[in-house]
Amino acid sequence: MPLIEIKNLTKDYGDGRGIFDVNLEIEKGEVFGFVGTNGAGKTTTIRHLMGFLKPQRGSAVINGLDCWKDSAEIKKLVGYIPGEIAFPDAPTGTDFLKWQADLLEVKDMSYADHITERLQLDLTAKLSRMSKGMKQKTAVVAAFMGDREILILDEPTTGLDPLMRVRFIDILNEEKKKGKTIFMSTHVFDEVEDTCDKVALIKDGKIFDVKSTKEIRHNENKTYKIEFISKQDYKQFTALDFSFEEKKEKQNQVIVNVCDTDINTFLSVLKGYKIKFITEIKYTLEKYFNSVYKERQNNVQ
Amino acid sequence: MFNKTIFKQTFKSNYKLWLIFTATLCAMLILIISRFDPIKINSMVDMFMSAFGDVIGDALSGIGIISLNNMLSGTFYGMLAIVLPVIFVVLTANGLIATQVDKGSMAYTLSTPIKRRTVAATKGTYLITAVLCMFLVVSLVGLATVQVTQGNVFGTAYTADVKDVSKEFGWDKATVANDLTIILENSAAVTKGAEARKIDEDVYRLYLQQKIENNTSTNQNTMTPEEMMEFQQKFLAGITAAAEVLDTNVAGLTANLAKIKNNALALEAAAIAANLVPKETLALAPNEEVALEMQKTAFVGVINAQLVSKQFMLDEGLNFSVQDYLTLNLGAVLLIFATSGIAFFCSCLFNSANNSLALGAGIPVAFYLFQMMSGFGEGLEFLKYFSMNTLYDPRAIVSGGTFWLQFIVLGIIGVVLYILAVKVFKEKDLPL
Repeated sequence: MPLIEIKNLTKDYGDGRGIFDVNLEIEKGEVFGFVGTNGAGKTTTIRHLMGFLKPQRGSAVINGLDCWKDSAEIKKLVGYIPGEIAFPDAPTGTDFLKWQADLLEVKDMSYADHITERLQLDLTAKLSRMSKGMKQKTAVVAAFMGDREILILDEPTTGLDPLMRVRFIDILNEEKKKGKTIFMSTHVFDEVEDTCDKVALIKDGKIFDVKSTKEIRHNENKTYKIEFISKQDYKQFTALDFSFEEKKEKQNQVIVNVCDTDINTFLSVLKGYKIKFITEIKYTLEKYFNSVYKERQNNVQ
Repeated sequence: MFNKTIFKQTFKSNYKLWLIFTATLCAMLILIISRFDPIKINSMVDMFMSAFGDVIGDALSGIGIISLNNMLSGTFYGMLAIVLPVIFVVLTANGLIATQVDKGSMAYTLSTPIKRRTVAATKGTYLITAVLCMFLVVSLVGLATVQVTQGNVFGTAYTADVKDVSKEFGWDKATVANDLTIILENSAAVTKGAEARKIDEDVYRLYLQQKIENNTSTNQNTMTPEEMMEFQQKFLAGITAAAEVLDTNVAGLTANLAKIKNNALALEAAAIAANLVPKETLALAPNEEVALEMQKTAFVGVINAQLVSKQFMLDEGLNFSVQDYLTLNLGAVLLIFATSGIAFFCSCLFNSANNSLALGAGIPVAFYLFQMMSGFGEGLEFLKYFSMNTLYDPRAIVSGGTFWLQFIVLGIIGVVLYILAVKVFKEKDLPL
């Protein structure tokens, strides 16, 4: 049985806003990316998992417990970073974490100290004076210090500078190694590629596609960029029957899609040409989703 | 249902507001009690009654002689002890839930294994505790102030003359107070007593005689209201004339009638202007001089009666009922408890702090205004049925009216609202 299971979850806010028939399954130890633009329904889904919203239809279940009815019980397993940063009226970061630790019944602060150090966070600063990044780091520490089995993170890298983003992803990967289950929403594809096992794309409140990142990365369809030394070779090559994505005559460059099954034929053909370089264009998640999205739209039309 | 940690944190972020409001209330109460002077207040009431007989006089005549309890029921418990705590509970209730939901910081509290019900119930408990503690402190400060300034919370208060005379002659205060003839029969004691009360000996004797006869109602009201009005107007005319002679204002002179007695010219002017002696009686006078003498005697008689009645007011004013005082506080607590229920319910119901504040403050303010307006006249009296505040009637408490049923209703309203608030918060969608 999946650790987190969302079934036909629906919350209709009218005017096409909300989420509709969301189905997701997250296995224990999986890192699950939840990708979508602003307003796509990421936060609404997460609010259901946290028991803040009551499902109109369908259900969200964590470890066999209903997220609405047994919401308090579930929190014993969950660490959470809210999408919006707003702290209670504690004076400093240290005070806030102490309050939160009391509520979470966390007695040992050594793990919190460890994360704080990793993020180079100064907790003695006044909460009201903290920058967006500092606040986000504080929220990260608050979510991780309980060392909970499941982490639910709503856009956890908002406000972090690129360096800290990398540091945060390192921490996430450490947690993953410890066997934690992580459900993370984001609108940055790179983040997902660096950490997640599986990715779900949500658009206009509907799950668009769920794919494993491995599958995408090890796609059989590869894209290569080739530059020829002579114009003649370029012209000769482009006349052949390959799936060209782009032809750049000025630079004598082509971008060509080749399936792994055809790679040998492709290479033997290439042997007869003098080329300046050949490079693989990495297939990104973003590209993948864009292509799927376009394909679907074309189908609709 | 209750979480110690949440209570502690709630206390830490809210106690300052509580301190400010409680301190302000206490300061006001101390000021009002320590400045209380039965003679001054009652002569002011007198003046109003004679000057504006109809309008304010009627409103005030229901109160009778103003004691400390009466005065507190009208000023402090009729207004300050309601308005300030209402502001306090509205602000606090809004901050406890609605603001945190609106801001989003409630997400942290609710991402812990603590039930929503427990969060709301604990915060509600804080609000109730804060209200109870506020009035506990106010009650105690009030009692302490009465004890210090008037000295009659614990034990009996003795009037100034009894105290001074007993001290001078080595008598027992209780004995003297119980049998004032002891003073009346000793002319040295009368002098001392009059001095202690800062009045003339003849007025003091009159006071003692009336007190011994236990004739507390000095206004032997055998007059019809019309006659009373005429009499008051005459008396006021007299004082006005005397004020002109003495080159002072009427209000000041009303508070110090003895001045007229001590100034022959003023007395003469007042006596003539007042013209208190009936025509038939004046006709008996052999000459103008005798007639004037009669007028003067009549006027002095009235002044003496007024002065004596003031002494009775002073004695009355010293009366302080601890039970009534505590009942005033209990009623105020119940009204504020019920009001806090409204504010807390709104705070739990709305996700937007603005909406919560608008209704949480709007309803209590409307109740207060309705209560005030219902007292303005016959036409608006129906408004009292639209206000919860009319369930707390401080005047009924000090003047022996009914109030226990209203108290019970207020208590029930509060309890029901708090229960509903917790239920609503438990079951609603939260935008966190």
